[in-house]
Amino acid sequence: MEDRYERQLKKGALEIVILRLIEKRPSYGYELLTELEKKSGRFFSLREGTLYPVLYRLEDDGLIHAEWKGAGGRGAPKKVYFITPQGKERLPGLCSLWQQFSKSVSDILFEEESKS
Amino acid sequence: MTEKQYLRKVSAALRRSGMEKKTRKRLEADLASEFSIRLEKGESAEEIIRSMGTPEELVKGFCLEAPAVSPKTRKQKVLFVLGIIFAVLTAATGLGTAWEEYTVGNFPPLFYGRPIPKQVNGAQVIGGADGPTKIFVSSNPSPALLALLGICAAVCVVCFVLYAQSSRKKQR
Repeated sequence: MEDRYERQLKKGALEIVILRLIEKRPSYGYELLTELEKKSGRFFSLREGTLYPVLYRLEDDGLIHAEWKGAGGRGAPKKVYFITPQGKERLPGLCSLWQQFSKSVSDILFEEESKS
Repeated sequence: MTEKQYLRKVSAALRRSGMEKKTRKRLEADLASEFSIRLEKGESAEEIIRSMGTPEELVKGFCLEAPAVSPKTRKQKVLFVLGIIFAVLTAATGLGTAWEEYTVGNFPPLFYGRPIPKQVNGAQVIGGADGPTKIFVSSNPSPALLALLGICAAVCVVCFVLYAQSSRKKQR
């Protein structure tokens, strides 16, 4: 059971991370869950209840859009998420924001260690 | 538990949570789709349910991550409904007070030619008592109606203020 601090930290990064994964390859919900877990070394081990609010926020902000694939054909229909042009435009800025954030936090947290 | 049973329980939990219908339908469709996809990949229903969590855990997790769609509590629903009821009562009482004042100043033709009461709810007639010359110099709405109007309006305002405070506390 993750604690409050871990949850808060992950919350801040999840949207950027998921947007990046979708930009690399359009994916459906379960695919994103497994990809996220694999690429993060199980650090992001999410449940559907955590993933879907993030996807809905990104979709409502116009950064991704969803299409149902496979309806009527063989197999269950899949809701595949694609990045939008607006999402592609926003992503570099978000990545650079993350770099700035991560550097600032690291500088403060490990200041004494770097001085010594 | 089968796929259908689990998804039915999830729908029921989502409905109980008070989540808005649009978000609920969106989530139900996505979960149903994911369940089917994972069954096709060879996972068992039990494995899928274990990983998704119980319906209550799933709904709780969703609401934690999406505070903007967090469901209204029972207290918020009751306050909202009471606020609406008292708003309607306030409007009805206000209309009743206005109607009373209107009818005092405009006796229906039935009263023409008959003795007209000298004072009706504080209004007094001067001049001729027949239709064209009667003049009403004052009128006081019924104290009981005014008191009822005041009480309904006050309760309505209190309900909505408490509802707003409760919503703000939840968002924090």
